[in-house]
Amino acid sequence: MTLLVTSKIFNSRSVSSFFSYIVCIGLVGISASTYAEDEEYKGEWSSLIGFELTGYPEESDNSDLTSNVSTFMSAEYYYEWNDGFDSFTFSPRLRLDQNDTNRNTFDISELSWIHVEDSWELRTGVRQIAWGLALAQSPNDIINQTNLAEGFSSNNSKLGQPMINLSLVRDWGILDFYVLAGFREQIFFGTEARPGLPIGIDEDATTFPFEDRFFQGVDYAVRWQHSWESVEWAVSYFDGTSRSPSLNFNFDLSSPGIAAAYYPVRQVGLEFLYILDGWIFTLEGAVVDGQFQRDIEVDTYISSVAGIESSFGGLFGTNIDLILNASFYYDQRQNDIGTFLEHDLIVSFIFPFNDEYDSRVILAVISDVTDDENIISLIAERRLTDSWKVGITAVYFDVEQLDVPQDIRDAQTAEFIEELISDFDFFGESDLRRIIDSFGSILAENNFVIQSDPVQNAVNSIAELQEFAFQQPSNKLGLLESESSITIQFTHFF
Amino acid sequence: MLKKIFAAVLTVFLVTTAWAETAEEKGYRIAKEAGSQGDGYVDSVSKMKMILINKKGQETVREMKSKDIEGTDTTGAKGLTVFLTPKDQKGTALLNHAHSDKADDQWLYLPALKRVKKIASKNKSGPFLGSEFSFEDLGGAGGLDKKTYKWIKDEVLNGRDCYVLEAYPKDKNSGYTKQVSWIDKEDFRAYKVEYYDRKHSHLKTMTITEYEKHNDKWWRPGNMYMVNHQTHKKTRILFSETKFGVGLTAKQFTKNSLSRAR
Repeated sequence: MTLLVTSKIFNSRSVSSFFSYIVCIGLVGISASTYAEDEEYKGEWSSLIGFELTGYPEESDNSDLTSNVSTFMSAEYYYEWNDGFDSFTFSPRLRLDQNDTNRNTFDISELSWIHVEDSWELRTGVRQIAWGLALAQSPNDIINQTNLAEGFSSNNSKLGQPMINLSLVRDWGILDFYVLAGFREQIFFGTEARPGLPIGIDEDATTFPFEDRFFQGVDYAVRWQHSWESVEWAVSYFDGTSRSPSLNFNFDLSSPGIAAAYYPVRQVGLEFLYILDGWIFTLEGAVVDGQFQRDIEVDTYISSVAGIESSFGGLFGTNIDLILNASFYYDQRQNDIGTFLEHDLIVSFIFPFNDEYDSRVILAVISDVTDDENIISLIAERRLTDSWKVGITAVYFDVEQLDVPQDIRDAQTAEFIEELISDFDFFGESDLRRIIDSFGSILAENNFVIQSDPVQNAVNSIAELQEFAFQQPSNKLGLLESESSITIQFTHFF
Repeated sequence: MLKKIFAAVLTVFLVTTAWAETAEEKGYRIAKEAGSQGDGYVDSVSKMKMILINKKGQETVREMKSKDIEGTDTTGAKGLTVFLTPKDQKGTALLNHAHSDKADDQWLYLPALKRVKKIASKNKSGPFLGSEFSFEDLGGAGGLDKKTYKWIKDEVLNGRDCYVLEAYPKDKNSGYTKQVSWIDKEDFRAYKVEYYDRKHSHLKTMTITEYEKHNDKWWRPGNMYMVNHQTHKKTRILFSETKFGVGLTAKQFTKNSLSRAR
């Protein structure tokens, strides 16, 4: 176990991560010693291994792949003592991808000790905390870092977050205090796979502009949740490093990449849920201050989701139910948002079959209400045997082709490059100057004709970077227009 | 959950021997007394095994663990159920806060997402976890006044002197028009229930066996066997390791408890 812990808990190289790692080792020690002393040993393992085969019916500009295989494993060891008032959980995860090395990730999802008293709980170690109400992606959910290697949905997998969490259980609700030590950098997918980034993340260029990368500050959070009659609510506050990095070009023409910068933010979150006659109404929002986008500070903004859900039993005289959920996302940053849910409606139809195989079909449609972009996904899953489960996921991107002229991609002459550069409006004036200068000298050396590979690569990369997000910010999904896919997944449970 | 299941079974069946009453009044009085029969159990824990048997006789097993705490004057009963198998659902947990005057509050913990989700379904008549039991059969349809009652006759069932009682759900969302129950006169234990669907045809029959007396006070069934006469599928529920008065407190039935339930 120690080997696993030391091999790679965190991809962040920070000192505070190192502290977390010490905490983890300490916890392993606690569990080991308790094992030795406790006569009523009640530990248990559960684990799973899964295989995913994905096919891409359409050709992609970025990748030649027509299929991909990915495998994932996760395990959980749970041990309790003191009649369950103390418990220890260790849960590692591993994913290996055929084509994208960035998706090869190992993470300790949980490594924690929970101590429970009548009116409080203390939870120490690496844990997973989900805030918010929205099915797909909650604006409030800030404790754990997103792992894009596991896919787009933020619910899929979050990276383990080291913390100390004191939870008070009182008549007036549940009050949680969090001290979060050890910042986790976001895991992105790479350039090789589908979907892939047009140019890769330059991990060495990651910065913490107001903090030392090797000693980031400790983050703090508090959350109060309570209910009264048919209403439930939560109020939260977070003060710490933003989980969403500001992305920018690394200005390195010899190895162009995206540089991530993590800025400190303060976030106030509100969640509200109301039940009326079988209908669930939800409203949640986060007010975020201090966020940066492309290294420019964004005004304090609101990111919110309103949702409605109901279920209908026994469709057409069968045992099949329908759970209908509609959520509307609104983010005040609009097109400057880092994700694509800026003004989008997600409608999900979940059909549980209520059979012995727990068969289920889910149809979800994400629609951008102002731009003509839709993502349609269809998921069907069921258990095959006691220990095998199968799932099929089809994702269709119904988005407009990006309007990037092919000749930019094929740019061979100085004019094209100069045009290309002058089209860049996301760089500041001085940045533009730097690029033109560096290009200028290269152009002079090459007698105004670009032949050498590094420059050609840079030009292509910049074109793709432009394509990625910046030229048409309202049309981010255009990047994925050819990324429709169908995946079959087998999971074996031990 | 145990308490609710038991109360549901009892509510329908308990009978007194009052004289100058109509069959309806007698039925109601029986049911009313039955409702308070299980009171005072304080709390309980139990393991439950649900065996789903399809037409071909193939079995699927679901195991779960539950704990309950009795309601007080101001709050309803609370229950927490954790799924142990099938393995892909291990760790899924359901928290229930019962209310006499409105729909129960229910929350589901989804271990894969580490998320607690509030659920609100009006559908009580659909199958519970793919079994031949509906949520309604397991006590999810509320208390005494959700049905009207009628005592029909006395009858000997498997050598036991039984009352035969009919119950008629008032709720239009109920899956039934009628439930007929056989209750033994000695200890007021239900041994058989027949369910009639909305078309008045005989849908299911439940047979209850292996009663065990706990703490010298409370009878609990060990084996409930439901046969669906229309689909020919069957479900058997086995209870084990039942204990009463284990010292649970209401604070063990919060959303915090739900997310760490095992």
